[in-house]
Amino acid sequence: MSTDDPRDRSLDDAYRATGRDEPPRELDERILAAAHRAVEARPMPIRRSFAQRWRVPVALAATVVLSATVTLMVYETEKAPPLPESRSSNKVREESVSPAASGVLSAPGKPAAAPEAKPARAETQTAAPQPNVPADEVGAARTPAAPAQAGALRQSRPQETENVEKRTAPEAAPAPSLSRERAFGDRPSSRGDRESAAAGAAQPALQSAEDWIAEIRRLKEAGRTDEANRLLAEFRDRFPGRPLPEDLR
Amino acid sequence: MLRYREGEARAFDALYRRHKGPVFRYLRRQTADAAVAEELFQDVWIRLINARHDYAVKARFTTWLYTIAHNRLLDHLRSRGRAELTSFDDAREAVVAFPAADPPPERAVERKELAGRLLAAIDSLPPAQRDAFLLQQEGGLTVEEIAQATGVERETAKSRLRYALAKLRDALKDLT
Repeated sequence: MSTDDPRDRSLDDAYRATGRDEPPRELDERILAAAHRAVEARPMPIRRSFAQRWRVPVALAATVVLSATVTLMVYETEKAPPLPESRSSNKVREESVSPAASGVLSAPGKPAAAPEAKPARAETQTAAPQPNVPADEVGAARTPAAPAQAGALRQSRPQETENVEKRTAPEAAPAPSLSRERAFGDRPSSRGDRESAAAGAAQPALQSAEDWIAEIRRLKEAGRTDEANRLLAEFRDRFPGRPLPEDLR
Repeated sequence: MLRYREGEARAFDALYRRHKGPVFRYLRRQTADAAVAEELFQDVWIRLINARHDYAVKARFTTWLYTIAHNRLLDHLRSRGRAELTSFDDAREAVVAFPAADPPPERAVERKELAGRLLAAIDSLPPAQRDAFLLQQEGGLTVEEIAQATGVERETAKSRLRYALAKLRDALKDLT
């Protein structure tokens, strides 16, 4: 107590004489019981506080899991479309090939799906410059009459064609069968970029005369005489000074 | 109180035994009805029980307890439009019911008269001065603590107490 607190000792004594009344006993019991109940009921608040303590970490964990799931789903969704697209582009490719070439493509032992990755680039090189050309026109350009015409054109510009072949050769090299098929089927008869691009994309697998000869022999042995003859004609165009082996004459 | 807050029920028993009388009288001498005083008394302790987790050692426990009691009393007085005054008769009855000691008959009459006069004088005090006086007498609070419990400046509490003492001395001057 502060020394300057107002205080009167005689009043203190007089006040103490006023009595020491206390609360009734039943009130005491009620209050004490309430106090004990409150302490005994403590697990409840503890459980609440436990829930409160874990609310934030659980919410954070749920958020992380959800975010990861959504990210994964988005990633997979973004990853998925190229498959149908490549399938459809393969389909378009197949559709754009002439019936004869289709026959070659579907021939046994020549998997059409083999050139999935790199040939796709060759495909764009062939298809891109002629977006407005209808598929049937392209197909028509790949009729059996076309190789001769293409060969004539190529002869008129042999250097240019060879350059194109050299440029595109490494890309198409891993899929020789399809490249060969393209060498047959994707032979456009039209002029300009379309031809050179198609030729560049279609023939890189058969670079040397030996390759051509081997391929022609293989076709003959397989009983595909027409194709072998067509390739042989093209071989003559391409390698006019090259003597043919005995069996191909 | 800290031990009770940590879950030791017996600590509350000790606390209650020590403070129940003073708190009850503090309330009883500011309300006309004994039943109301009991109700307020119970409310004060229930509030204390419920607020045990908020208790922090910022001041004496007694100050905290009388702050609760003072606030509960104010709520009650406000609900009655501040017209509630301690009845002299009720208070005198309480004195008769609970004699302080066993003095000789003449002395006992004197003491009874003095106590009756004092209670009447306390009852006639303005509520704020009466409150300050009872906080000092029953709670043993200092001026500083009275100011804290009643939410006023120290000088205000001191002034109230000084006025209360002066009026009570004046009321009892012919007996002392």
